[in-house]
Amino acid sequence: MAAQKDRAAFEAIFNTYYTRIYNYALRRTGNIELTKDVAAETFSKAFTNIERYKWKGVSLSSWLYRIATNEINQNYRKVKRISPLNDVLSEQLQDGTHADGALLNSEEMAMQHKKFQQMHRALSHLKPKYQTVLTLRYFEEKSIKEIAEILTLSQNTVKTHIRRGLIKLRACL
Amino acid sequence: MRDLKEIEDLLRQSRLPDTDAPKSKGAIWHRLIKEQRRRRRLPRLFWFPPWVWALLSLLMLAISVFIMVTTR
Repeated sequence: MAAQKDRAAFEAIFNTYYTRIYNYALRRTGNIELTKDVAAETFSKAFTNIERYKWKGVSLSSWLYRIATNEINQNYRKVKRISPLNDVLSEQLQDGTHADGALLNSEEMAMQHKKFQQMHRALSHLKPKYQTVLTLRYFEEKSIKEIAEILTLSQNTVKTHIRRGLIKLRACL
Repeated sequence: MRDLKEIEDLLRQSRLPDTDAPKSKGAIWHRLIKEQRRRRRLPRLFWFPPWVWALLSLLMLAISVFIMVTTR
């Protein structure tokens, strides 16, 4: 009975946050298979440790992003090794649905994908900590406060990482 | 050289649109449920949090040292 109750509660969390975590992992890794693994592992760890999650000024969303970030960074070597992005576009074209309501046609999507691909390549030359802050800030559109919460850093440190990341990225573009 | 504002704009423009990922969602949910069922079947012993294992290891170490010292 308790297990069923837990499952229902977790299903609600999964349904609410799955898309966000999936898209974040996709933008960080640029690889569908790895994204699926990261998303599955994130929710699996959240499911197991949900009792340890206590409201301490950290939202559930930030907690999930934190788990996902750790997962991605643990797979960093794998992320670097795999040839990325080839499957992203085809999957998105097949899906044809976009959570943000922007239903793009295939030409627009291909163009957007190309831009992303170039940027992802440049980002992949940076250290994971810079990739993380830049992805959270400019792709996930998180505020400095939220990023600080996710990464358990001070807001000033986040600002410094963003600035340094941008400078390093500029050198790669 | 580009200024940082330009790099910020470039990043924003390169954002990959959100996808609902409906295909993978169902599959991952089933994978999670399967995993949870498997975990529930594991003996209770494996459910201890890591700090318990660390504490037990230290205790074992202390007992070993105590035995070594007293049996000299």
